[in-house]
Amino acid sequence: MLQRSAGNHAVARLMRQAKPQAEVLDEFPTDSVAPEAVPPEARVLKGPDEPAEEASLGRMLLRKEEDTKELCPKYYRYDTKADVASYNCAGLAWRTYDYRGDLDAERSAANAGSAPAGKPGEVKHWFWEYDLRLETDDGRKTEASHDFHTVAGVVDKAGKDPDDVYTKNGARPVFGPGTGPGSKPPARDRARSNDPSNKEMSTQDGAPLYKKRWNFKEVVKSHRCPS
Amino acid sequence: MSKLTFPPGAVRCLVGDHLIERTDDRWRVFRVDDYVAVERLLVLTRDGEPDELIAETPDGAAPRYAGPHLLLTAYSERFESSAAARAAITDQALGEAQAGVCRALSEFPAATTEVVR
Repeated sequence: MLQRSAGNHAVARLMRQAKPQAEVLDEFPTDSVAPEAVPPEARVLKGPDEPAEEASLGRMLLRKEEDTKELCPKYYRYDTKADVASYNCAGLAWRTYDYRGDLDAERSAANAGSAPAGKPGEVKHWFWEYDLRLETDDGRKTEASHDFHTVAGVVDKAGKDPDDVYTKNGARPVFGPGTGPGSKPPARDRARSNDPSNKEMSTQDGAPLYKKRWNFKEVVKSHRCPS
Repeated sequence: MSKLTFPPGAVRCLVGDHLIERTDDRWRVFRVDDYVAVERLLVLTRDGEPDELIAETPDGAAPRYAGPHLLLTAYSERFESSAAARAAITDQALGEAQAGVCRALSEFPAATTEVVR
């Protein structure tokens, strides 16, 4: 609680002292937002080896990673040495750093856990599956496919949900830290290339391409901390 | 998930090599014509009609065609043994050739595939 309070005061101080940043911070109603929703000027996505200090807004909001470090070290930040193109969301969520792209297998893996009990140290997994298509504002669209996203984090010493959850979409970069529910893919966002460049995609005539997601199903289960 | 990595357990062959694949109790022969990376493309439609092609950009799901892939010439003859297949390669008695066959390299595990250089 002391850490949390200190963090909140630090954020409030930052908002008072830095007018332009305060405008950015005002856009954050919670302690986590979808990476796509973060304004570029506030996108401070630091690697786990970088110092957790004033340079990162994410760090200012971070409260529980020290609990994670003690309770389930494998989930303390993430391995920045792993090739970001070689693992996806599930590889990060399970900290196996491989490309786990079989939706059925990942649904089963998530479902194999138990109902969350709020027990310190348990690893809470969020798994979403949904229909997905690409579309433009002028009505062009692709056929739907079925896809998924998943994240995981460690329940803290107080039995509360983690706020040091990292997320990545396909072979794209890692974003975070944030919360589990805050990592749920949005109903619509810009389509980006499935590689570390994460470039926004457009049609040949320059129309922005968007991903539309619907028919969401969610699984939230807790698993043991892996050794 | 790199298209540029030899899959674990798969044979490592060169362009121009022949592959002898065991299927059940028979053997068949392919010639390796090229290594290729296969990418799924999505059809973007306008009013229900194809408009342009877009590179797939999945979320968590794996890209549809994990590679690398081989472009092969497949031969029609089937053989009782790998030795008979090797002899047929030497004798150029492999039967009808079908070019442009594309298969994932991972479909040729070393346990059931012989490489003839």
